Amino acid sequence: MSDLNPMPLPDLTDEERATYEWQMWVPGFGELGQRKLKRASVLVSRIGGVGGLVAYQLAAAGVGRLVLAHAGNVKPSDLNRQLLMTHDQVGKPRIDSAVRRLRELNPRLQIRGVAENVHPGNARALVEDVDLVVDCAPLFEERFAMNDAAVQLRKPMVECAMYDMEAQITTIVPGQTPCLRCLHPEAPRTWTRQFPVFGAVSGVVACLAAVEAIKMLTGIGQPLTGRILKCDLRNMNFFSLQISRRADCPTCMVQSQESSDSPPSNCHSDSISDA
Amino acid sequence: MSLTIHLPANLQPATDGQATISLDTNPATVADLIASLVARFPDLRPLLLTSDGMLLSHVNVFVDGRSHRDIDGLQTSLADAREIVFLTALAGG
Ligand SMILES: [Zn+2]
Repeated sequence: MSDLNPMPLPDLTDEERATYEWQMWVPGFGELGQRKLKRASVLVSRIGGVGGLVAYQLAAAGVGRLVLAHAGNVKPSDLNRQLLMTHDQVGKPRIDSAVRRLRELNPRLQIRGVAENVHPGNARALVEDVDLVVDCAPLFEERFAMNDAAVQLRKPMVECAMYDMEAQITTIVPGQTPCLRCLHPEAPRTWTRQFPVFGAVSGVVACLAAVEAIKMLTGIGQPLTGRILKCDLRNMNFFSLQISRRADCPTCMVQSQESSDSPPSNCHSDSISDA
Repeated sequence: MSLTIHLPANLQPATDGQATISLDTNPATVADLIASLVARFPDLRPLLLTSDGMLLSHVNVFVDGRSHRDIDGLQTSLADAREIVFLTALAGG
């Protein structure tokens, strides 16, 4: 996999070597992988039950710079899962609570905290600022805005979501893999802003997403490209499912026209007649 | 050949909470499977189908790990299928 960031690799300090010693023992990662993480920048869209844990794991792993987007103030009902938020911060901006917690963990981390949720008007500028995106927003409008910007700018995006005791995750590489709109062209009309969630479930998919981000940034392992991992945590059933691009995906079509790629054709009628 | 069908959490209110359904006899196609599920669990209909009977675009049916859209769509044969996974769009974050 080619590097996502063209900048020269920074050296590690003695403090960083001491901090990351145990993960540099991971075969295929080593000091080179750690230097790639130090050079890297990642955007996390919303830092709630999923995104907060993604940011925490990436901060712990030594990613050099995080861009975090999340509006609003901390509420009591955030605290069962949004582990960057604390009781003493209720009523105060979530982004401030998150930045403070992350700096406690990793004082070397560069953080750009944006007290906004992602929308079509800001997505492109946010994505332009980083090497990789992790999409953790609770609304399809935000997810589609992030997807479209990431595909247009050819930035990889880890797409992760949960509901109840289920989670789904895939890694999108523009021009190569299906995007979010290939998988789900339209949002379900029944989706609502509030959903059933244990912090342990949102944390599972968050940690999987952080693993994917680390792999994409350093080139180790086999990312979840062209497949989606569906995790049924109520029954502990896990499914790795093959996915492909839709010929009629509006996001990939625009990107393909710009790059003269063409996605494979896979159009079928989806009409059902009653039994 | 028996068929095991895995349903996501957001469909289970329509199936009396059942996450997994086993059939002793395979339906011929994905379309037949969906029609028989909707006949057995009428509350599934609006969660799977549009008012004019089209499969909702955010519902994917995986036949032994492959999307029906990548095989023969709703006419995908289930003659040799062992496992069906319904995948619907989620956005919890
Ligand atoms: Zn697409």
